[in-house]
Amino acid sequence: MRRRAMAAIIKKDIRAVSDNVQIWLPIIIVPLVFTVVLPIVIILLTKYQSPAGSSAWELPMKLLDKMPMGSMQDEINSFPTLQQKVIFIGLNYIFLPLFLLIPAMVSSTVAANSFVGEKERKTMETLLYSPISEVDLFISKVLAPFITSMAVTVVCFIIYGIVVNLFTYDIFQGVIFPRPNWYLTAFLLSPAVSVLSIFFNVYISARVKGFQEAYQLGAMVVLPILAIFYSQLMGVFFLSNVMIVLISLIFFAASALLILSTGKSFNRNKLFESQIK
Amino acid sequence: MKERMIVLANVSKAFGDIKAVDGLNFHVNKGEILGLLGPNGSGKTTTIRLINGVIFPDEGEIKVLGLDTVKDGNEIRSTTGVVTESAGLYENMTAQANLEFFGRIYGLSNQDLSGRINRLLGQFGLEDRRNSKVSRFSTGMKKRLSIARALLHKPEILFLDEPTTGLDPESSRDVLTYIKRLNREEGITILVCTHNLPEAEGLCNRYIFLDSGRIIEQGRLEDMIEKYTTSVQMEIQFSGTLGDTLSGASSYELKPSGRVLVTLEDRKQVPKFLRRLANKVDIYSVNMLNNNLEQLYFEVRRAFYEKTGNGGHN
Repeated sequence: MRRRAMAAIIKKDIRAVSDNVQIWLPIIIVPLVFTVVLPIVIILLTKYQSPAGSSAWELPMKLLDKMPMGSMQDEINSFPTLQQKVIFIGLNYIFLPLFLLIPAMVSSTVAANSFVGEKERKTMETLLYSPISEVDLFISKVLAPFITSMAVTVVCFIIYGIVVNLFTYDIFQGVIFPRPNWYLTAFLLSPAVSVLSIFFNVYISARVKGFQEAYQLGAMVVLPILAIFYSQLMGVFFLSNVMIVLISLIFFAASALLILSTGKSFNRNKLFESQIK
Repeated sequence: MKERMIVLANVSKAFGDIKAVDGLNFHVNKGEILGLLGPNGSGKTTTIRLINGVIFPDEGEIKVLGLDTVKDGNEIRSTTGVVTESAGLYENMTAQANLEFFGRIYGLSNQDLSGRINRLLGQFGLEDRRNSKVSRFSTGMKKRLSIARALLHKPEILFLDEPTTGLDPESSRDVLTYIKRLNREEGITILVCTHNLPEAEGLCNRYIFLDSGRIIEQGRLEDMIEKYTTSVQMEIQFSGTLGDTLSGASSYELKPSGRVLVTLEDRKQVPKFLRRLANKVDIYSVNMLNNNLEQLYFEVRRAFYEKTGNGGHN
């Protein structure tokens, strides 16, 4: 019975998003840009632009100079041409934090809808009048955005892999994607980003008035991702395997803190007193 | 003694400085329709929430079917159905999908559920709209679906919070008919909150008048009328010559088209007065003007404020 009720909530919360074009369209467009459009643009740019004097070449080369870890530098230096080096750095490292925007945005949107949207549409009240336990309700409402986010992330991971390999095969005479850092990104860092984003939404759900506000505030989860993106560009750190694991752990820890500070308020009494008018 | 489904003992609940419910003592008997009447903010919705254990009392104790609302909330909620003032349905889902969703939440098996859904959709006249999205329903249809939803798990007690607000007269009548039928045919105990007094009058067996979270009066309509009204006002439609038949009235006023407005000092005079009148003229209708719930409601509130020396409103 418990599992059936939870499955029903998860299914319903996912459908609430998939039924609403205004919600799922941005969820589809962002990943499409980051996994298809941008990589193709970058690849084509390096193909048809001469290396000399082009700004598109400067950034990855600067990055190459700053790369701290010998092994990775060796790997990159093993490519004979400058074009290969640039494409490899761009697609394998610079793009990596941008890819994280996908789980961040998908989970944030679904979570905003699932927590605040339900309250706003006054269906949370009906749900809380049912005999479902708060723990089951909470887990279901966290799983709905998590499952959606991970499904979209994995699909994007595959699309990205296909696009990258398809468009670079002639340059490298082989497959360059994915490397271990991307597996870690898809299956460790992306879940961490999703969880952080969901719990951040739970945290703000008690403090916002409506879905729109929650959605806007929830977009703040892109800030740490942009921070990672620029840090790498500035050479502060480099997204090596160790670094990805470390960042994942930090995100999981931050999620734990968020949920410890708000988890208690997710009970019927508090929900009714503070949120349902 | 009748079985008591719900018992509240000295229940108080405050939100910040505001006492939403203040020392409530009442019970609900099995099989009755109890009306909780009072102006907005008198604590009606809070009372429903307290009884269902979704909020906890600051003081006092509430038992539902012998269970404690603070400790056994989920057990209680599996035997109650609540129709909130807003319908509380998922607008992006069809009527059928809404009922399936809530059926699963209440743990109904698939077979039970499909049979139950068919029956309820039929009972509430929604079977041909089962695959329409709720967003396309009228307010009345939403309300009916909301009641159907609350009945999915065959609750023993049904709570209705302002069941006819926002409905047109036909829809209102439909909803009230369904509620009465549920009570009569399935014996469901019903607690209904409303400020629509004429509707409540035809619906409830017993009433509780709330004001600022306190009970100012409770009982059966007849008993309370007996207690609060001494004089009787009635409008009589007749034909013939009245003569001195109205001499027993404390006052009367002739109206056009063969009607007369009569005030008697005491209810006990009514039978004798009417007998005498009927001997002289043909009586077509007698309309009692001050023995309905609405009149009583204002009388009770007036008496309460007089007693407490409180200005009050209305």
